Amino acid sequence: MAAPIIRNPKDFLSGLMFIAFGAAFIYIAQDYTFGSPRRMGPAFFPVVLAIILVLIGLVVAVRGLLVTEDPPRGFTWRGLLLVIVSTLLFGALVRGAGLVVATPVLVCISAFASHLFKWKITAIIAIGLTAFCVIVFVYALGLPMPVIGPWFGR
Amino acid sequence: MIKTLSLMAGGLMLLTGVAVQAQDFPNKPVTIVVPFAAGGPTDTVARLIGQSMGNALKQQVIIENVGGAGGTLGAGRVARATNDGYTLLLHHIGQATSATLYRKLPYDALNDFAPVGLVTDVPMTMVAKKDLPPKDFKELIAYVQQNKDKVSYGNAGIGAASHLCGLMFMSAIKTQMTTVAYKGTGPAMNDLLGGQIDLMCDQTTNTTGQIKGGKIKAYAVTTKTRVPSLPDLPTMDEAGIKGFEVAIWHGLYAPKGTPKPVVDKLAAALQAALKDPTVVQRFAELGTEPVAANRATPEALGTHLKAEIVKWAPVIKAAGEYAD
Amino acid sequence: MELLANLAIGIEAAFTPLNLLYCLGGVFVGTLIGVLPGLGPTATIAMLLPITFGLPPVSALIMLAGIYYGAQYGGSTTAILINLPGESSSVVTALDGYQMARQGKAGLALSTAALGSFFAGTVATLLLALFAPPLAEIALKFGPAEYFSLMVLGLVASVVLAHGSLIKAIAMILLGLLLGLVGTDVTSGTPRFTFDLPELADGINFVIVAMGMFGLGEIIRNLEHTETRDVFTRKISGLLPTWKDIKQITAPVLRGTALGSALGILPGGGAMLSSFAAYSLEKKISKNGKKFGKGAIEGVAAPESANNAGAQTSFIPMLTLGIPSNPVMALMIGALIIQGIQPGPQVMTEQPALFWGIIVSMWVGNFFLVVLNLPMIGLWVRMLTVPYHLLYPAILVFCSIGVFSLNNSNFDVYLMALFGILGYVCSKLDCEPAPLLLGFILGPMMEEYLRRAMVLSRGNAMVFVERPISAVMLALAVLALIVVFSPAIRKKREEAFQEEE
Repeated sequence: MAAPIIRNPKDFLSGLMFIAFGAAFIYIAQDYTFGSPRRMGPAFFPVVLAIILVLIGLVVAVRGLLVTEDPPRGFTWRGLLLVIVSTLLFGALVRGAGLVVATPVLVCISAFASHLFKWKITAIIAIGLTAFCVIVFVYALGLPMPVIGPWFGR
Repeated sequence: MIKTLSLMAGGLMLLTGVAVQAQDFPNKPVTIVVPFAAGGPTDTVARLIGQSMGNALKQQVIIENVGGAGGTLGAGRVARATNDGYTLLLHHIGQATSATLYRKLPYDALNDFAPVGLVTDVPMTMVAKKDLPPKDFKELIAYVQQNKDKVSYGNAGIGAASHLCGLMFMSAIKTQMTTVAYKGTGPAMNDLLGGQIDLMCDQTTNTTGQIKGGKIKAYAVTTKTRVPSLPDLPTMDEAGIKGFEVAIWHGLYAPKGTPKPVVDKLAAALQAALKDPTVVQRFAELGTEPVAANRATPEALGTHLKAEIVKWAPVIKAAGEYAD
Repeated sequence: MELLANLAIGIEAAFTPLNLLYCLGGVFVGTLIGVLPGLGPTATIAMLLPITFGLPPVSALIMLAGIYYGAQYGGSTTAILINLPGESSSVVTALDGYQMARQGKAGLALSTAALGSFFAGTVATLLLALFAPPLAEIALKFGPAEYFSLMVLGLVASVVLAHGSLIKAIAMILLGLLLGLVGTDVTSGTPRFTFDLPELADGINFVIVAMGMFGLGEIIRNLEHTETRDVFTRKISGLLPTWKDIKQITAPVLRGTALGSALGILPGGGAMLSSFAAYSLEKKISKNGKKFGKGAIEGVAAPESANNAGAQTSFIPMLTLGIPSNPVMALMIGALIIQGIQPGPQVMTEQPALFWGIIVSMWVGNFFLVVLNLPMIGLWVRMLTVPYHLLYPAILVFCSIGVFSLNNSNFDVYLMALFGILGYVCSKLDCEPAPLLLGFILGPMMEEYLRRAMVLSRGNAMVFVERPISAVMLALAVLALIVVFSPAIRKKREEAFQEEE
C-alpha cells in the first residue's frame, strides 16, 4: 500500500483550521482602519496576529504531510450533537418557558447521549436537579430567572 | 361591521384590562433593568432607589443587570418589553448621547420610552497629574492651547461621560489634545496617579479621595454650582468657560405606551424614594443629591432628555467619533 | 514596633465575635458560589452589596473580602473535580488537578490546593502588612510599555503550558488573542468581528469560553467511550498529603507564593498572570517536568499558591491607592463609597481600624477556609463516585445557568455551545485549550497597552527598550524563548554535527 499523501491528519487539519481562522480575521478586518504604528487603527493588531497565525497554520499543515502519526479516533457525532442541541434548547427555553421546562429538557436530551441512558433514573435526576436549581439559584441566590416563564401566562 | 365591532370590543377589553392593571399595580415584583454591569455607579444608584421604591410600592423591586454595548443592549430590551410598568430602565446621560453615538440603534431613545422621572445628577471634576505645571484653571487652558497634542487626556472609551466631558472641553477651548482610551476610569486613574497621562475628567465619586489625599491636582468642577465636598474648587463656568456644564444625570424610564396611571404611580414611588432619609444620606456620601421633587416627574425627564440630545448631537458629530 | 501596634489595631477590629461571624459567613458563601460553576464572585458580591449597607464598614468589607477569596478557592474545587475552571486563575489548576482526580487522587489534589493556598495567603498577608505602601508606589511605576512587556513575557512563558506540540500551542495562543479582540475597540469605538450582533459588542466573557472549551468539550470527549469504563477510577487514595507529598510540594509552594505575591500587586492583569507564570516556572524547574499535564502534584501546588497570594496582594492597590485591579475590587470600592469612605491613599491613616482590620481578617478568613474545607474534601471526592453518565447532565445544567446569569442573555448560552464544538474539535486535533484561554484573557489587554504606549511615546517603538523595567522584561522573554526552544535547537545541532562527521 502506498503511503497516503496526508500522513498526519491531526496536524494537517489543525493547520487548515488555523489558516481558516486567520484568513477569516484578516478578511473581516479589511473593513476597519489599519492606521500607523503611532496611531494604530482597530485593524492593526488583529491583522498582524492573524498573518502570523496563517503562517504557523501553513507550517503545521505541511508538517502533517511529512510526519506520519495516528489519525484521530472515536469521534462521536451522537455525543457532540446531543450535548450541543440540548444546550441550545436550554438557551432558547429558559427565558420564555422558564427553568422548570428548560432544565428537564437539557437533562433528558443530554443524558440520552450516553449509551447507559435509562429513562427512569434520568427522570429522577431531571426532577431533582430542577428543584435544586429553583431553590438555590432563584430563591436562595435571587438570580433574575423565571421559574415558570411568560409563555404560560403568569 | 362585525370586524369594527370586534375591534371595538377588543379595544374596550384592552382598556378595562389596563384600568384593572393600573388599579392593583403592582401585584408582582417590579424589575429595574440597569444597562451596565453590577457594582458600577449606575448600578449603585439603581439599587439604592430600588429598595426604597419597593417600600413605597409595597412590592419587591428586582435589579437586573443587562450590560453591553454602552448601555444600548439593556435599553433596547426595555424598549421591547411589555409596557405594563413591571419592566423599567434606569439609565444615565448615555440615553441622550447614544442617540447620536450609535447610528444604527434598534430603538428610538426619545420616543420608545415613557419617562418616569429624573433621579440624580453626579458632578464631575477636571483633574490632572500631581506635577502638571498650571496652577489654576485659567493657566490650564493656556497650557493646553500652547502644548496642544503634547497634552494627553485619558477617558473611559467612546461615549463614556469622561469622553464627553473631554470633547466638550476641547470644543470650548478649540484645541485638540491626545486622547488615550481606557476601559473604565479606574485604570485611567491609575495612569494619572503614576503620571503616565496628564489630564482626565471624572465623577467626584472617584476623584474626591485622590484630591483630598493630595495625589492628583484638581482644577474645576463641571456643574453650574460648587460641590459641597470640595468647596474650594471653582466651577468651569466661573473659572473661564462660560456656560460649561456636564453632569452624569440618571433617569428612570418605562416602555412607550405604559398606562398613564401606572407611570404616575411609579413617579410617586420615585419621589417618595428620593425623600427617604437613607437614600438622601447615601447619595450625599456618593457626592451627589437627589433631584428636587419637581424634576422627578415624567414631564421634567422628557424635557431634559430632549434638551440633552440636542445639546450633545453637534459636539459628537463635530468630533466625528461614533460608537459603531 | 509600629507594625505591632498596627497589627494590634487590626486584631482588635477583626476579632470581635460579630466580625469573625461575618468573615466565616463570607468565606462560606464564597466557597459555595465558587463551587457552582459559572456563578462568579462578581455577581454574588453585587447582589449582596445592598445587605452590607446596614453593617459597619469593617464588617461589610470583611464579609465581601471573604466571599472573594472563598470563591477563588471554590473555583479551584470545580477545576479539579470536573475540569471546570470558573475563574481565570484556576485554568491551570484544571490541567493537573483534573488528571489527578481521574487517577483517584482528587482528595490529595484538593488538600494540596487548600494547604498551599493557606500558606500563600499567610505570607501574602504578612507582606501586605509590612510593605503595602512602598509596593503600591512600585506598581505606579508600571506604565503601558511595562505592562505590554510583562504580557509578552507571560505569553512566551506560557508556551510551556502545552504538553504536546510547541508550535500548535503558539497557534492556539494566537487564536486566543484574536478571539479576545472580538468586541468594541476601546480606542476608536469600532465594533470588531461582531457580525453586527449587539451581544458581542462588549466582547466574549471569559466564563463562556472556559465553560465551552473545558466543560462542554470534556463532556463530549468522555461520551466517546462506548465501553462501560468510567471516567474516574473507583480506587481512591489518601485524602491528605503524606510526608513524602509535603516534601515534594514545599519548594513549588514557596516559589508560587513568591511569584504570586509579586505579580498580584500589579493592577491590570498581574494577578491573572500569576498562576500561569507559576505553572510555567515549575514545569521548567521541576525534575518532574515530564509528568506535568498528566497529574503532577507540583502542577497543582504552585499555581494554587500563586493565585491565592496574588488574590491577597491585589488588595494593595485597592487599599492604598483606591484603584481597582479587577472587577471584584471595583465592587469593594463601591461598597466603601456607599459606607461613606472615600477610597484613596488617605484610608490607611484616617481609618486604621478598617485598613488593618481587613488585613488581619484575611488571615482569619484563610484559616477558616482550611478548617471549613478539609473536612469537606471527603464529601467532594465521594461525589466523583457518582457514575459519570449521571453526573454530566448536572454539570451541563450548572454551566448553562451560570453562563445565562452572566448577562441574563440566552445568546451567551448559544455562544457557549459554539465554544463547546470548538473545544471538542481542538481536543480531537491535539490542540490544547489552556494556551488559547491565556491568549484570550491577555489579547485585549496587550493590544490596549501596546497602542497606549505607542500613542504616549508618539510612535517611538524604542520606548519598550528605553524604559528599564520594560527592557528587563523583554530580555527575560527572549531568554525564556531560548530556554523553551533550546532542546529543539540542540537536537538540530546534533543532527548537523552528525552530518559533518
